Amino acid sequence: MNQPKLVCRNLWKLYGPEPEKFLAAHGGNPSAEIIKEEGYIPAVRNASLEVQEGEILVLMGLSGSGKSTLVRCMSRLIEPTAGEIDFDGQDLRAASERELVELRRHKMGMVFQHFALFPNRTVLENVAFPLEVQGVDRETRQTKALEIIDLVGLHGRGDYYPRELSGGQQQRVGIGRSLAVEPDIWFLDEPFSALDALIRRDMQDEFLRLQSTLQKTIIFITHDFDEAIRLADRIAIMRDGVIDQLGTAEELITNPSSDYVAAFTKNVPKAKLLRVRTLMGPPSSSAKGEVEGDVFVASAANQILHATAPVGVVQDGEVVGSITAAQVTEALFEAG
Amino acid sequence: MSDQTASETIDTSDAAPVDSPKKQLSGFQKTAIALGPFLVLWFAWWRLGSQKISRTGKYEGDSGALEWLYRTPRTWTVDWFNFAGRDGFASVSYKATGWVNTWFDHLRYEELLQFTVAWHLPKGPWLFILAACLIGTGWMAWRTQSSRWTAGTISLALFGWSANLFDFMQIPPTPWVYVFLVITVAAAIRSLQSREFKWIAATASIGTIGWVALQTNEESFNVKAFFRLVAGWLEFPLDVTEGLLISGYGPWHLPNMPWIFIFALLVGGGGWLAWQRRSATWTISTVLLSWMAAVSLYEPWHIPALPWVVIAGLFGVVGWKLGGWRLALLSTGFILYAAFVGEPAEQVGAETRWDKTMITLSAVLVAVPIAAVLGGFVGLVAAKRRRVEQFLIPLMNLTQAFPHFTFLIPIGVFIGISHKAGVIATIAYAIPPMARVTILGIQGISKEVIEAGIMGGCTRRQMIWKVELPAARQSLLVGVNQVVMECLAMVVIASFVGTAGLGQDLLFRLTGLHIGAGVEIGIAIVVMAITLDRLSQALGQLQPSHHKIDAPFWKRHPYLLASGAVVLGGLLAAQTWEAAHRVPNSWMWGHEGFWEWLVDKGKTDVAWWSLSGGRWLVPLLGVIGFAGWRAWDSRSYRWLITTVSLTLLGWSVKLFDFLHLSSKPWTYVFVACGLTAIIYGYSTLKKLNTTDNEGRTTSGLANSEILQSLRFKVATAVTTIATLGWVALRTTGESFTVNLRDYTISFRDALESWVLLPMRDAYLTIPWVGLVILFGVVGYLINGRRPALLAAGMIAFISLTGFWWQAMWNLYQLTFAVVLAIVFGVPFGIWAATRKRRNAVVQVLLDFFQTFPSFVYLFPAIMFFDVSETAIIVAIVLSASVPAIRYTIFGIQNVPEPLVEASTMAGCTPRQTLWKVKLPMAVPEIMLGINQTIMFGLFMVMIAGLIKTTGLARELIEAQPNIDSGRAIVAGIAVACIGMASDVLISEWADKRKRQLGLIS
Ligand SMILES: Nc1ncnc2c1ncn2[C@@H]1O[C@H](COP(=O)(O)OP(=O)(O)OP(=O)(O)O)[C@@H](O)[C@H]1O
Ligand SMILES: [Mg+2]
Repeated sequence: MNQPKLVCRNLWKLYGPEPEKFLAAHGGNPSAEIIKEEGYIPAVRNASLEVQEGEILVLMGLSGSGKSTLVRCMSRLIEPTAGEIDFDGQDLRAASERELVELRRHKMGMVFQHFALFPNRTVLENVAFPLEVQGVDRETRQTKALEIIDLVGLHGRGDYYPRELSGGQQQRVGIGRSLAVEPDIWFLDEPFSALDALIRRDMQDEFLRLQSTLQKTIIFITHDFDEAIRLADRIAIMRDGVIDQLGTAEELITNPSSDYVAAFTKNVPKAKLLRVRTLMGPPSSSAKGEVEGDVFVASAANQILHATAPVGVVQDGEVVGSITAAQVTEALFEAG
Repeated sequence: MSDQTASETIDTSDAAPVDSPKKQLSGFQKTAIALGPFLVLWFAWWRLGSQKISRTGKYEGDSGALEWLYRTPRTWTVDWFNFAGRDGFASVSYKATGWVNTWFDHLRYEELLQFTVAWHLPKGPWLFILAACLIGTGWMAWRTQSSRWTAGTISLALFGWSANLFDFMQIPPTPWVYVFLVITVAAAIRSLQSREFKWIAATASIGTIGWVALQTNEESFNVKAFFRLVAGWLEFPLDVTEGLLISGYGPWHLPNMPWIFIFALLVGGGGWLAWQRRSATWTISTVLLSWMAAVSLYEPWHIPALPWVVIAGLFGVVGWKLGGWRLALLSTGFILYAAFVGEPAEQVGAETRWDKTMITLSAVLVAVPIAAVLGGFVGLVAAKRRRVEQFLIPLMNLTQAFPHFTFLIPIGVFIGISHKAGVIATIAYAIPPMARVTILGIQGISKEVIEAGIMGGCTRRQMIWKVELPAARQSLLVGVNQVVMECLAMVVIASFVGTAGLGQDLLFRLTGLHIGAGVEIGIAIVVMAITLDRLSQALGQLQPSHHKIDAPFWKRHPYLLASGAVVLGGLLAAQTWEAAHRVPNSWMWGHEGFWEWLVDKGKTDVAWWSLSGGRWLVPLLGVIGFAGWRAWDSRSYRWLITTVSLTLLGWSVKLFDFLHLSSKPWTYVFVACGLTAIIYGYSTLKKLNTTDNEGRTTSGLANSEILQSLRFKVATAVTTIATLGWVALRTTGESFTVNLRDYTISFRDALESWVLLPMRDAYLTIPWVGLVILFGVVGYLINGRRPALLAAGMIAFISLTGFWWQAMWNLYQLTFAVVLAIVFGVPFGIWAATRKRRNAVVQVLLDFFQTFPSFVYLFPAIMFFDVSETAIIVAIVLSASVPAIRYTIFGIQNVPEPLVEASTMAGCTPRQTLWKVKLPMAVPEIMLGINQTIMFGLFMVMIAGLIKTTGLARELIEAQPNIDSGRAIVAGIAVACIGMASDVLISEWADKRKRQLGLIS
């Protein structure tokens, strides 16, 4: 397997006086009670994760659970208290300021919840900002920025100022700006939370469209499980600074590691997420007809519910199990 | 004695509702605790004083045991600043022997200023030590590649040079200057290109070595000379602006031949570049260059100043760009006023008002950018480093409590009396507000924007220039506006150390008591202040908006083209027509005579514009008829008042003489009519009221309508009768001649002999121990030990400076004026805050008043009260009311909307809402306003020293910077102490109260 794009190992971020000392004094792994007793704020505790090239990893969790802090540690906007971060095999924590600047100029991009546009710059200048900072000459960066403006669907708005745009348009500028340098890894901190539901939906589609052409490695923060399901390859759920569970949406739903995680997935339309394969029982001799194991329950439901007997489940041409109407209804209505 | 303690009473009674949760003291108890000891002490010494203490605080009795309580013993103050020998009024022997004075005395004598003497270190050991240090730091700099170590090394080298350690390196300047210059410049260029550390280091070291080796044959380092050298750098920008505005440049004795070619080349090149790059900057440069060339060739090598037409036009264009035609009008108006108003110069070549205005303008134009840049820089550093901020904020609070004059003293000492000394004082005064605003602005940038900058890959420097400063632009420009205002506030005061221009002129006129000319100059300064204020405000509000990228040049740069046109047109006009270059004497108009007349005759005799009958009578009657009809028709009191005023106006110009009635019988008739109307109206009103209360026969609404209409009818009847009576009866008299000044002067005399002088004498007997205790106790009641110690400490400090009775003198003025300002300002603020429209009007007025430099308030005071205590007090009241009103309005409007709604829903009448909800909530803000009032008052007391020096103001102003500097500085500290002591108490209280009310968390 090829090398992961970004790796965090045992990442800590504590707020308080001299957190390094405190951490070292407790063997690098103080319990939540001690942290609280000593008056430290644990923003991130012992977080480890790997992100593969081209993957979308979604971070979720209640407000204050440390999502933003984790992402900011990964981009070293915030200095972590302890732990390791490897980016493309390079130790990020050992990187000098100059190296960091270089990394941010060419490999990282970030989109912010409240857009964070420079009010004194036009859309074009905002998008061209990272290039300008790199010292790219005016002609080149203008052409590049215009391309990106078209890409994010703001054609013809290049000479507008941010306050002349709507919220959705502003976030497009923010996205465009973070794309200008063609980053390898893309951090998005609740990029769509400040937008209303309809525009959010639009932007998600837009985002998926972009991703299908760009194939970036993405770390995406959201509060919204629906959004997470639409976008994520894998989802990490955080609580009080700890990563509670990390897995695909399906794994989280079928196999929540705690009530906290279960609470997150509770109101999700499961039929749309669970595959037949996940629900099926052992192969049955009375099975009639067959469905593909990889289809979602929702799309196979009609067939299964109308069948009088269990339906066989096939995978790669082999029968691997069977599924009954009762199993489907249970999943659909969360009986039991 | 009750009125003397008015301010203290206010402090404590307002402090009373503060409840500490632990022990509940009633307001009365607190007042008693606070005031009791103070009053007892005061009374005791007051009684004592009536026998043994003279008014000026000199103790004449022989019971020395009591003296220390009454007046700080001389032995105490001696050790601090030693103003021994200052025994009140009569004494002139201000013998300065304290260390502050000694120190400044030292600076005064040229030979002691030559710190070289002290610096001259023995070469043997020191050179060795220094060399070792140099090598060490140099090596560190090279290893860590840090600019800090480099700077350290350079400073060390310069230090060694200043102590004459490097004399042996001396080399002859003639060839070596060039050699070093060339090498340094080459290295600098190289380091600019490559930005490699080794080149930067090379530049720095070669430059330093060159300097050290070449400058040793000079007289080495000299503190005063050093300061003057630094100050001398100001001369360049001042020369540039003054040359542009007044004096012109040259004559440059340039050889004719090469320069024509050079100019041709430059203009051609610039024009070509401008065309090639479509660049605005190059266009401007080319235009300027060609102007220089054209004028130089036409009138060889002397470039005259800009003609007034051009300056007026440019101001107009700038105003138009920043704020539309109104601002354009205002700005042009300012220049026109400067150009046309004022006495024409008596001899040829003498400075006219125009010249003086331009000198002041140029000083402001130089001071503002420098102060803004320095203040911005300080603020930027402070915003980035917590340590620096923690150190700077208290320092800035301190400097802002110092009266303006204090800034002049060190500058006068170090730099001497000159034009630039004043400019430097101005800059120094304007830096703190700018720094403050910058800190707020930079820290107020949203965190995300900063992060976006970092993620965009900015280096630290790029962060500052590309992200932080542009994002804080709005607040930085607010800071610039403040700087402009501070600079204008200093215009007059800076002339104490020799700044030329309007301020100096005004100072001379004021001290010579030429009120007329003073007012005229004052108006010029005010107009300038308003213009520059509005311009810089508009600059801050300017929002960029987009225009199409491919729009034609003239569409993108209309203002640039307009200014180009103005410059070209104006220059052409000035070439052909002298009057467009400089306003001829015959066009000038001075109105100082009018003001002189107003003051001297002291009469606002309206009859002097008496109009002759018929022709005017008919239209006036028409207008009166119309207004009366409107009043009757719309039942509007406003129109009623208009009608009455119009009638009185007609009467004042003798239009109604024909109505003349003999007074004897008719007086009775009119009075009788009036009384009947009143009685009839009153009884009907009463009847209506009672039926309303009892039977409710008609609907409430209709009833109240009838009531209102009836009220109006009665009012109309009474006013009509009264006006008619007045008009018809008073025509016989001498018509309308009010001698306002007779009234004001007799009012003043009464006020002074009955109130002010007794109050002053009482204050002069305040025992310092008593006041210290009072402030301490009040502070403790407010918020425990910290404010208590601070406030009491400051008061004790005043007594230790030996300026006790002077301070008390100012304190009495301050108390009286501030109480008046509050009594007037707070109700006015409440009145203004209740209606939106009213509030808008009042806000505009306040803004207007706030742009006045404070000395302006002296004029009306002098006009009506001559130079007297009363005039000072009136001036203080005028200037100090502004913050009282402003903060009251702010406080009332800041009451959370839900609260007001809740109280309205609870059934409060507007009046009840005001008294029960809004006012209690607004009290903390109002107290802050009072705090500001005290500060304004304090500064005004000092500025009033321009016309009459009293108390500390006298110490401040009369102590010339070069004669008795220590005295002025100590007096300045004493003033600051008064201000800060009250500031500590009031702001602590307001803070606490706000927290209790949940206005801040
Ligand atoms: N500068 C700071 N000083 C002290 N505590 C901080 C600081 N920044 C964050 N925290 C704390 O760290 C915790 C995690 O904050 P973080 O912003 O990462 O939460 P989040 O998951 O992003 O929440 P949200 O969804 O509201 O954005 C919070 O409890 C917060 O109070
Ligand atoms: Mg967050």
